[in-house]
Amino acid sequence: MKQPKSDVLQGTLDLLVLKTLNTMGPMHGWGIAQRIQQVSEDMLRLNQGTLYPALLRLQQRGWITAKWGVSDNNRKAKYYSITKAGRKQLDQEAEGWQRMVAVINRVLEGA
Amino acid sequence: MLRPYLDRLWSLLRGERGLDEELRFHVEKQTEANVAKGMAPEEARRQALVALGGIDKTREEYRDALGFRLLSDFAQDVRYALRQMRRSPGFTMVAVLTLALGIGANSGIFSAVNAVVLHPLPFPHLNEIVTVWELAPNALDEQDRTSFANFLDWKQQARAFRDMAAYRGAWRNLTGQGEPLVLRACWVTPEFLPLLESKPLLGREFSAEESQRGNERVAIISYGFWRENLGAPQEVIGRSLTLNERNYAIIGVMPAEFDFPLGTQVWLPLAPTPEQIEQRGERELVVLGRLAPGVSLAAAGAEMSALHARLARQYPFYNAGRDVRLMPLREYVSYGKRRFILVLMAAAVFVLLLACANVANLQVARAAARQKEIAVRTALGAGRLRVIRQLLTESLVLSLIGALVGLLFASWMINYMKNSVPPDIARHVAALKQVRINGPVLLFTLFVAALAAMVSGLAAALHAASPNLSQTLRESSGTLTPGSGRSRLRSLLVVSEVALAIVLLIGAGLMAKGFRRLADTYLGFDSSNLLTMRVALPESRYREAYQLAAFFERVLLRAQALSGVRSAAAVSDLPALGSSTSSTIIIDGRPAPRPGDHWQAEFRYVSEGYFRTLRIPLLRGRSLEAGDRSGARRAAVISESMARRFWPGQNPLEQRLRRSGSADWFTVVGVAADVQHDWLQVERRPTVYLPYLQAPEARMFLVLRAADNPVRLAPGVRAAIHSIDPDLPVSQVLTFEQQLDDQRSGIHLVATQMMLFAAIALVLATAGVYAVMAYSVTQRTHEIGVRMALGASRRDVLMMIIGQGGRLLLAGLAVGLPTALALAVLASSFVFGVVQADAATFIAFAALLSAVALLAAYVPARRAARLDPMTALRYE
Repeated sequence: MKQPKSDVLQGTLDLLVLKTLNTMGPMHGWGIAQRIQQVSEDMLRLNQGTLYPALLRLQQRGWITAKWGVSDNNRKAKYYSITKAGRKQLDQEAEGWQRMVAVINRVLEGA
Repeated sequence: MLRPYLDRLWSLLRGERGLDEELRFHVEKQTEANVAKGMAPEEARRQALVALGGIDKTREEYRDALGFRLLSDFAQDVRYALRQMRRSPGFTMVAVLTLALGIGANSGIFSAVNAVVLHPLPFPHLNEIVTVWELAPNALDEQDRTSFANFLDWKQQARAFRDMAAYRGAWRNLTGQGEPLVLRACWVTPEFLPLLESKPLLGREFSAEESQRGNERVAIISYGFWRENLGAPQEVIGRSLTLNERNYAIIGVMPAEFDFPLGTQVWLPLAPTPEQIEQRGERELVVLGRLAPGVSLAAAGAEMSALHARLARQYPFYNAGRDVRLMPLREYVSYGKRRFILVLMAAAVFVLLLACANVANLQVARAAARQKEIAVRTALGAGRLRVIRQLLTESLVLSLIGALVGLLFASWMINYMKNSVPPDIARHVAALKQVRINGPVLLFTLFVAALAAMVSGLAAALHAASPNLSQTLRESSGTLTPGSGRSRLRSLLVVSEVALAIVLLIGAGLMAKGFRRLADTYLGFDSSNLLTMRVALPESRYREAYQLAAFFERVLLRAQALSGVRSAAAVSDLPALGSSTSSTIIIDGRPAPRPGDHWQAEFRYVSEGYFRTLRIPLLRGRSLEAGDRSGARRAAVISESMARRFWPGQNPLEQRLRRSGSADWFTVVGVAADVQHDWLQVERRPTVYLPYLQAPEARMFLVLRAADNPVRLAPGVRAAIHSIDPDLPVSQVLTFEQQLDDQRSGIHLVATQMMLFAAIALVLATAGVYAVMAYSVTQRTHEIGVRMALGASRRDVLMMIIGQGGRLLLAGLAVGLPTALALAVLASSFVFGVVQADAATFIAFAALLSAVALLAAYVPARRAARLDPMTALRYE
């Protein structure tokens, strides 16, 4: 199955979103952005705008689902949560990422 | 499995609106967070927007993601489906053709439903227009027209309608334009055209003044009359038309699509005389009403009933016991045809279900063959839903191609339908010309195709996606009981196919039989070799009774003298063709009938040669004779059913009776055998025949019995009539058989269509049984080998396979026969009298289907019996 080519950053963003939702449970878009920035201790500069198309694509792949709900101060917000398929995907991608990091590390150290 | 598609379609439609809301929320949250960090509100908001980046770019990316996946997935599925189809052309062809039959049958019949039942007339608010009828106070609940006085009261008092209009049809003789013609005219009140929201193409509508006596000599003509009879001149307005010797100025031409009442050629203002306005007893008007905004049909009906009950108390002599009924105009104009078309629609749905069952069967079989491919795809990570979606897409592609081919089949069916309706009947079927494949029909076809795709593909898709990889792998090396779930499913499909087929077969059989029965019913007279024509004498030149009598007497004398004419007669209404002129009768020496007594009889005015010409046997007394003329004692011949109804066990001869509303007593001189007044209704109505010489009529039919081909008599009779009065139009010159055939054409058409559907059903069901049995033999080859090795004879194997087919057949019949019986009972109430459930038809068609199905099982059974046990054992 051919997929639209995704640059590295976007692939990483997907992974981060999945990981965030897996640990934090259902969250809205702003919450996800906050969390990613917090955890990365602002080392990652996230362009918050790109988050939303990414969320849509993840939905379309069936890895996350979205539901309109009410936020803490009674405003309408869309809440995202991870699906079973999403968890599987997260495991695979995380593993893939680790392997890649390991490979790249080895290459860098060996060179 | 549809959910993802629907969700995506929904978000596609919803577009970025959802996104905008989300972004607004995001910015608000971020602003709050920034303020909490100590920023000024405006700066906080600016920073929040900066952090979000370019909103336009976000939106664009979002939009791409919305549409792209949906389309790319679908396109990919379709491409894959087409590849699969190319790979198995045999399966594809059979499935496409089967679906084409099912879908095409539905599209064809729906095009008739759409035009004739749903949109019979091109009025913008057809839904709101109803016809208003009185209900005659008798057991038959007959709809009756109303009188002028009642109409005026309704119009004045009813609140449920925006407006009401009335009309009355009539024939008018057109002279002064070459050959005299009879025109279908319609007198209308001034509200008629405004109520229908129709305007003339040329000229103007009637004004209110023109419905005043003295101003009514104006006419609006139909488009057809304008073109075909006048040659479509532009300067037609103001021209004069001579109708029944009176001049009318043409003030308008209606557009071509305005055809109401059906076949009308000229509309004239209804301008009642002062006496007519007071008239309550003569019911001649058809009333139209347009419902006021927000008023339902039921509410309007309730109001009219209450209103008419008041009128009944006010004028009990005329209105006692009468109720009012509303009928939507849409139903009124398609009355009679509607039922037939709806029965056909139901039959077409059955054909579709059968086609779907057949294709489902093929799909299940093919899914078995594709098990490995699917297993591989699943192993490669395609989700269960993805596989189901893929299979359904394949099914949809098949259906859509089937629908395209089906449209060809449908257009053939439409042509066939149109061509088999004779022109004399086509005139009376609203919107028959409009039966074609148009937008709504295409939409319906698309819908049916989607439905067919679901129904035929779902079973296979669900089954194939059952996540049982390891079993699939095991199954591929031949086992004794292969895929038991799958063969159960296929058996179920075959059982339902047999059930559907038997219902269709029996339905068609009963219809065809009903049609035959109607066509073969003896009508009470000999309809062969009869030529009939209609002559209407204009009142301007034939005012007096003796003038009317003298004219027909002369015509009959001349007609009788023509060579080839055995005998000639005149009658006010032809039998068997459904026309009715009934009145209440009053019998001398008995109290007058009370409302509800239903002392009704048909009245016919005839010449003395009538019974001889139609070959109606005389049972008692004498026939009417030339001596029964004005001045002599008034004589009447009554029908057998009349004698039985009013003089049971007594001698009716020499009894006196009269028509209510007339003072003239007639003495019964003879009793004639019954004839049918309506070929569709077996019941024989009491009838009184009176000599036209004692009660002349201006409008009569001439009936000639020919020695051989009656058509050859036409020119001679025409000439004879014109030699007496050259300005007299002679219309409806037709053989009796022709008129009967015309009237029967509707039922004939429906019966033929049903037979076509039944034939398709038989073929599909047979193919279904064959396919399943053949597949089963292939699957059981190994098992058969084992059985043979253990000592089963070829005969045993043959019987085993046939027995398997027989069980499926029996199960199908067990479901189908009771259903057919229930539907037959329903249909016989629906298609009045045409359908009668009889055991012979049930047995005959059950036997036919059984024979064909068992034959379909025999072929693979014989193959199984001929297997070489050694080969079979090695078979995988």
